[in-house]
Amino acid sequence: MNKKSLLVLVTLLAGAAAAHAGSYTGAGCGVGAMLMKGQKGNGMIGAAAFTNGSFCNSFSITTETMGCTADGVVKNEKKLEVYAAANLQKLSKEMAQGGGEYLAGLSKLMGVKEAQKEAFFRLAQQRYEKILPSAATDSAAMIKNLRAEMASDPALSIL
Amino acid sequence: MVILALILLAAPVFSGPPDYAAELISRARELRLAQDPGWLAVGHYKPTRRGRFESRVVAGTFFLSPGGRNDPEGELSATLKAFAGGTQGSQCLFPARYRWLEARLGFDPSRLPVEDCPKLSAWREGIDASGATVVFADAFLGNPSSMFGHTFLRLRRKTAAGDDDLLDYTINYAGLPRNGEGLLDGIRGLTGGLPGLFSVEPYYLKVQEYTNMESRDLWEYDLNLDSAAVDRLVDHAWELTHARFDYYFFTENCSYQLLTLIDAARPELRLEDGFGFAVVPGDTVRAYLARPGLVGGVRYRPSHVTQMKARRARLAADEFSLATRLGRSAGPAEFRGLEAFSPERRALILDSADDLLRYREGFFVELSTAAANSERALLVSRGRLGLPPLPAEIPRPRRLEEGHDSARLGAAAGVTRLSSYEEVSWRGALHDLASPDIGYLPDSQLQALNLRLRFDNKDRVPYVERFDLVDIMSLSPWEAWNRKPSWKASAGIDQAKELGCGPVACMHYDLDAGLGLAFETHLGRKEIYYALAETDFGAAPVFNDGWRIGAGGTAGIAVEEAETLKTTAEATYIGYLNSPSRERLRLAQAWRLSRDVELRLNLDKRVPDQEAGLTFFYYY
Repeated sequence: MNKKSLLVLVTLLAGAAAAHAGSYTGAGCGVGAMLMKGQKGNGMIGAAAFTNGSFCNSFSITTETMGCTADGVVKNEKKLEVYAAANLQKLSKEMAQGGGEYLAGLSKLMGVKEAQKEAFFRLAQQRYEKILPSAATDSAAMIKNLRAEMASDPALSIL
Repeated sequence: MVILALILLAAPVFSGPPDYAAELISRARELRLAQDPGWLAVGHYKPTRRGRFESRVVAGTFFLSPGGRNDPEGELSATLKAFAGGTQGSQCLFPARYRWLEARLGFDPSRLPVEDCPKLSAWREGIDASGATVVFADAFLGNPSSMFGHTFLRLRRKTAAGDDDLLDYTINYAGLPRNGEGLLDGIRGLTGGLPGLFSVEPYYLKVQEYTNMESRDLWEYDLNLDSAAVDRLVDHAWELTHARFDYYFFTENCSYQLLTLIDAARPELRLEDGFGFAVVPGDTVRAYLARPGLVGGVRYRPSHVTQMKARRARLAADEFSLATRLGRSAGPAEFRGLEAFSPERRALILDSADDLLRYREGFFVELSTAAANSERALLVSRGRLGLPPLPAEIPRPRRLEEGHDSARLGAAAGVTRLSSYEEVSWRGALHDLASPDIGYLPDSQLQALNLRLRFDNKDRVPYVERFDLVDIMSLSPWEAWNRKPSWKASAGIDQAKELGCGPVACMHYDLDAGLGLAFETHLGRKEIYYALAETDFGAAPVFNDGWRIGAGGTAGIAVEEAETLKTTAEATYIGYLNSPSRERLRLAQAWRLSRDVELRLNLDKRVPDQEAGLTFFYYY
């Protein structure tokens, strides 16, 4: 290997390694609540900025509309809204699968009784395309549609 | 909260009957309450070298007395004056102090009326805690601040139904970095230059953050705390939401502050005893486990990647290839391909395809139209099958406490080409590739403060054989669904034996970084192969220019013959611009004799020298 190509290699490697190892530096074990738009989140190092763990900012939604309070506890009347917005993707997947932990949390927040949970899971799966009519359905529309479907279901309409 | 504090500070200290405050203060003096571990814990007071006290809280509206940070007694008196003097909001700001003092002094409600605290009550009701669980997040080598793992506290709700843990709240302590100053913040985090704050967040956000976005498994350790202790803990957490600490990455970090929070609720546990030099999150989990009866149930919460791999392992070859195509781009042809399979197998293929799609695209991202439509097609198709969720069947890895402790002592002896040596070594943390993986991130190495001191029997001199300030290696086996590079980085003191110099003269500062690929096979139990292109910089008088710089590569293999038995071999070549090249061939065989004892045989050929040695390691 001649010296020139070696020098080029050194520079390239050092650059690549530095970019790889150093692009994501911060303090705090786990401080970077990376709930940010644009974060790949597949365990790769991303150019994520840190947030202060206040998830309201992370979702780029103001405290006002999300009903967050300064001390981190979500106001009662906003619980469902915040939960649905934060977990929409997981909820969508579990509705298609007919159950799961995120969907169980949703059923609780919607006041579904323990005995009716299975019926709720089945309904979410059977009416999937009505609850989530397109890939662009947002969480508020999803809740609205879900409520309408529940109202038309004999087992769940009494809620 | 700030406004409340201003009112509080501006209010006259003696607005009510002064005699009761004075009476309480004198009784507190008689009982020596200011020196009581319970009072010191709620104030986060630590003894200083000069026999005084200082609180770890540095700012915020945490002290009622101007000198409260250094004066537990004065702060106690000021607190009693505020309570008894009817200073508005004082009881609401300091519910844990109130609770503690009331239990010791028995306040007379006619002379010290109980305040109504609507905000605090709403907060308590929102959290609705009946129990506490320490959550440990596995190490994540991709982020320097997460390399050692992380702990936070989950507060279990009274109204939990068993499958709705996600609705619980968590208490988390972290350094607050400034936006966009990553590297500087790293330095600040090491030296106490960042503010450290407690925060409260729903558990579902923490689960999303760790298990989905960072691919980290979570471990939950339930603490057996009675309801009075849980109430004290929640009240103290409220006090801490308006306290500011200095954040220190190695000492006063997330895991340390969690210990102090629990100590404030149960001072007799003395959890932080024995932690001084550095606090490794895994060691704090061991501290909880070491208190008899403190830890109840332990649960494992696998990350998205872990779930994806477990599901994928159940796919046959044709199913795997279809799931891969569906996960990359789900078109009509792929969906027609599904028809060849039974509904149960279709469900498994579709679930796996969506696992892959999300892993590739990310979480909390605005998906491209194509990806969003792909995912929708997968989910609609899955929903139409009408089948319930498939059983998870995820093998539980070994728990961290089944692995060796964090720090390590070593004793070694060996022979070189012309001499022989004895060696003692100490390592602050944590794990290396040559060691069996039980309880640690597989195929990873994170060594910090690793010192090997040798005595050469021919030259009769002691010298530093190797010192690692930090030495990281992260191998990610390359495979169809998980294409991540492998990398390493190290900084420390090394030997330049290729120059033929003596052991003392050969010592030099060394910086090294590499990037490449790793592969995994299961011919036996497990084999990892890796190849990294590498660049190296050294500085010492022994080099002609005082320094050298070069590039080359390292290739290696790690074979796990049994859970407690591992062989590693590694070859390195580095050509330097201004110095002779380095060639090195290493072979190590490690035996784990018990959880904390390991024996290791090393063969090391560093041209022109070579050596063989046997090391005995004790982890503690």
